[in-house]
Amino acid sequence: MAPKKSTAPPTPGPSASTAKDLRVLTVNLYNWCRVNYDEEHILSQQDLLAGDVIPNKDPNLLLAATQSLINDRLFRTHDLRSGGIGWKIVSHVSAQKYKDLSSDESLVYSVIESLGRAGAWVKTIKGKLNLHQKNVDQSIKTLLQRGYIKSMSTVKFPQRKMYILAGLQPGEDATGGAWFTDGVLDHELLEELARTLERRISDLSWNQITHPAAESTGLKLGVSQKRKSPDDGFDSTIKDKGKVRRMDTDNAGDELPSSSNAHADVQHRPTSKNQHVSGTLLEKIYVPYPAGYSKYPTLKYLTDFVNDNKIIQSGKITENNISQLLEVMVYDDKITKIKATPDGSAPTMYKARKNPTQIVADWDLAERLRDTTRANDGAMKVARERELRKLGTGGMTEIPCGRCPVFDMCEVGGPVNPGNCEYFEEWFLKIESTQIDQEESLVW
Amino acid sequence: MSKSLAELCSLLIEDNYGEFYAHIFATLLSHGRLLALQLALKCHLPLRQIQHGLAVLVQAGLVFHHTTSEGRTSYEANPRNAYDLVRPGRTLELVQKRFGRAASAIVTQLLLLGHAPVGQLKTVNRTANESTTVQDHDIENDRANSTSIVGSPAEDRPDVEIDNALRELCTHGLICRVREAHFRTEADTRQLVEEKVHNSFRSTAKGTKLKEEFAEKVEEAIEKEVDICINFRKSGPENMIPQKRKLDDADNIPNPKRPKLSNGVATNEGFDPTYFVGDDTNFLNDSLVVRLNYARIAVLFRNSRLVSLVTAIYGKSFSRTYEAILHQLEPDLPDPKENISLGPEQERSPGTTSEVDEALLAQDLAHHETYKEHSGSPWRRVNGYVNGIKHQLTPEARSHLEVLCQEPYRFLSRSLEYPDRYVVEYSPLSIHLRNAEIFRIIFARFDKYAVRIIRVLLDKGKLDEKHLQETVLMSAKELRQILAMLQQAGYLELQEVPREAQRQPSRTIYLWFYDPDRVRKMLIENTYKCMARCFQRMKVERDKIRSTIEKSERSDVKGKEEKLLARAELEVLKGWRRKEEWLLGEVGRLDELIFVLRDF
Ligand code: SF4
Repeated sequence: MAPKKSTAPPTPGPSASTAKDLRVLTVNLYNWCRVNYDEEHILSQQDLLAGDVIPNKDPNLLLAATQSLINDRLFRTHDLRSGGIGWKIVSHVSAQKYKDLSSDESLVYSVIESLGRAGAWVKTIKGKLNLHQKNVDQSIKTLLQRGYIKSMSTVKFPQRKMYILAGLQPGEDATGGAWFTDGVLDHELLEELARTLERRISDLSWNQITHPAAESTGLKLGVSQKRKSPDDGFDSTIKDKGKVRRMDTDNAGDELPSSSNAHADVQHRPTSKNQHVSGTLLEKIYVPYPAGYSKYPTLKYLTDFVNDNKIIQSGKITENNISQLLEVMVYDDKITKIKATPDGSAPTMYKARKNPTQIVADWDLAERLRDTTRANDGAMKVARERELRKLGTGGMTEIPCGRCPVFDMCEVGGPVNPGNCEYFEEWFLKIESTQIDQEESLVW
Repeated sequence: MSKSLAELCSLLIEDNYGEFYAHIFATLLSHGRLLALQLALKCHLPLRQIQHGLAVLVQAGLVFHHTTSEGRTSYEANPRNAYDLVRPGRTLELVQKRFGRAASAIVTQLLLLGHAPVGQLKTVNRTANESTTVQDHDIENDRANSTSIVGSPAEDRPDVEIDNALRELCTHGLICRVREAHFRTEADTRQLVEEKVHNSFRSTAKGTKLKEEFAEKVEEAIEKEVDICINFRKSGPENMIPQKRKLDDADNIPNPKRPKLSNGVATNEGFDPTYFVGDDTNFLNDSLVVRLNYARIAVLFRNSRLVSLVTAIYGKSFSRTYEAILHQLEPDLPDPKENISLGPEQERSPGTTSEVDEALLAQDLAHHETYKEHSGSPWRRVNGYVNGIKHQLTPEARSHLEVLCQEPYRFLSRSLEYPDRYVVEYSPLSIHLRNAEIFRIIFARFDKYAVRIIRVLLDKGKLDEKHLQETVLMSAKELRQILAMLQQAGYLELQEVPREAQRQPSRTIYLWFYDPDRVRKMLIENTYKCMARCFQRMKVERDKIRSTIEKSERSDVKGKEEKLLARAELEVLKGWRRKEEWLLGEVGRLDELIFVLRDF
């Protein structure tokens, strides 16, 4: 370790032990750190000694130097992840702030600062410092007045009093991420985005066959492929379609205007357009892609899709957020996950549960349902239709007992019994009306 | 045995047989096993009447009886069979759809009689059949039937159609033989068998080995006592029972049912069970007494549910393929476990899977159009060869199969041992169906967020509110509301995990969880109760207009209601019939729920 003396910065040499020498040493150490590390880095003892600022790598000297820096608020101690103690550098500006503060205040400030964008809860501050509530409150008040800190709120604990450095924005944990607007979960945004995504995934999950025979015979529903002859070139159609699909995905840019328009339609004027949309879509037949198909959309594709099409006004959205939403959509049984490879090395793909025809039909229905609820007429009709559509309707959901508030009490001979039950009367009337409805209009 | 089920069973018997029998049944149900005399005392009825009633109930299989060696006969209710009284409609529908008219005529007959000798089925049937053919001319399987049945002269020559239908029903296990043991409770049978085995048991083994050997013997003997399979294999060369699984060394595949099928009687241990009917070496001997096996109806129903699920997910052409597969597997499936009393859910035996062979499937699909129409004879599907040509799957069919194998549903899986065979794993699919049903109910009662929460919890296990909130993307307030509702309705539970001994609420973690089995049982119970309410309501509605109904049922009015009854009375009657129809329709759907939740 011979060269250390020669390369050492202008220090008084190894014997430096006077107060003045220490002063110089500390300044040198601080400057060296500022040059070599940024403020976020946690410096370990090795880091500090590596700079050859400390003569002989003398730990005692280092200790004295760091201590004096800490006293000057230019260093802050930190726990190292590997255990032991580390340091962070503090800028002169921040250090200056501390200088103006009383000891309590500076303690409080340091806690708030150390918690960064997560924000500090009053109770945490109190707990960490073991100060009296009054002192903490007083300090916070001063700090607020001086504009050093500001209050914030977090989604997870809306009631908590939280503080953060004035210059920082609350972190994603606190704001709840992209799904929160002003700390409130943005339901509309979620629903809308889920719909858009479902539609997009569905477009990419089903092989669309425009079968000339189907069109000429005027096949009415996408699902009824009965008349499809078994050898209608399933494979060849797929190959062709595959190419088209690949073009689609490759030239996603070309598609952008149309798809974002479609989205706009859905968003702003869903009713007027849907009738038309379903009218054209009904001509198409969707069949599942063969097993092993690997071009279902992935998380990355969908995130890009959302961002490129500027579907969210408030700017970019991260993959994390989209994955959160996709996860929810899986639970809503709108989409399913598909593993591209059994060992999970390739990214998970998403496949829509319903084909576009079904989705549009569903929206249509929901739309009508909403309309009619408002008019409060024929709502039953739509509800009934929806009920009938669903696979395996019935049992428990229709009959009054299934949703009876006094179900547990109801007993023959008891105060509430099937004989005096009024729900049944209501129910009889209700079916009567739906049955008439149904006979009237099966064509929509 | 739950109160609601007991209530429902009595109501069902009342509906089918009348109040008198329902009273006897309910008494037996609430008191357990009774002697006829005791029963008479409890019912406050003369012994003679009671005996008459018991005879009818025993005949219908609704009451077990057992005579001890001292000659005392005791009786016990059979709720399982009583519940099945709700199912004749569905049974007929399924059988007709699947096996055609002749089969459904046989089943009708069996439903009327409870159990009957084969000979009777063969003859009575024809007349029943002819009377029905004319009426329901529009049913889909009509073509095949109308030519053969209507066209066949009503002579005494054996009716091929009926014969084939009988065979097919047997193959699929829908008809099974009745043995004496079926009129006893399981415990009685066991005791009897143990006694007998004990008398004839000789062994050199000692200690636990001896016990094991004895237990094994007993099990074997019980198996034989209650065996419901009709033995086909000895019925001579004209027997065309599917030998398909012999395609390769299929007999080596362990299948719990196979040993019985292949060597039903040929066991010669020192113990000769008295069969209900002595000789069953002859296939469908005229004197063989058979009954309907309701457990198989669940199999049919499950398959139809699975097919509609596939239709909903992949479309019609896929479900057609899938249907063919399921139909092929049907005969070899073991009965679903019957556990009416809601014990802990049993581990399903690995036997709930069977394999299907590509070649056979190809053939089925090739014959699909004709296959659809066939009414009684599946026998042409032998060995996957038709006229010596081994069938190959079309590329389309193959790709269908592969799609069906896909995650997450896995309607099919490839067999591990044989590359050209496919397996249907029923239990995960049953669970899927069951969960879907539960989610549907939750959706209808609450909203989609409730379903989301339940599904998250089902997937992730126990979660505290914070994590749950992050996953379901809902605001804390809404989440809490829905959680509370779900908890109140019994769908969710909350577990407290105190972080310290004092159990302070503030220092406690609260975990939400969803217990599917508990919810399933709760729903089954509620469904029983709902069904009971429907029947009770029917009674109420009937009572309301009792006089009018009685009038319409008078012998001089019956059939001429239009002429003899006042307009208002006719209206009242019509309204009542409609209500009754709705209620019965509802009962049918509730029964579907029971199928899904209990029997699948
Ligand atoms: S009968 Fe009426 S009161 Fe009783 S459970 Fe049903 S709906 Fe409720």
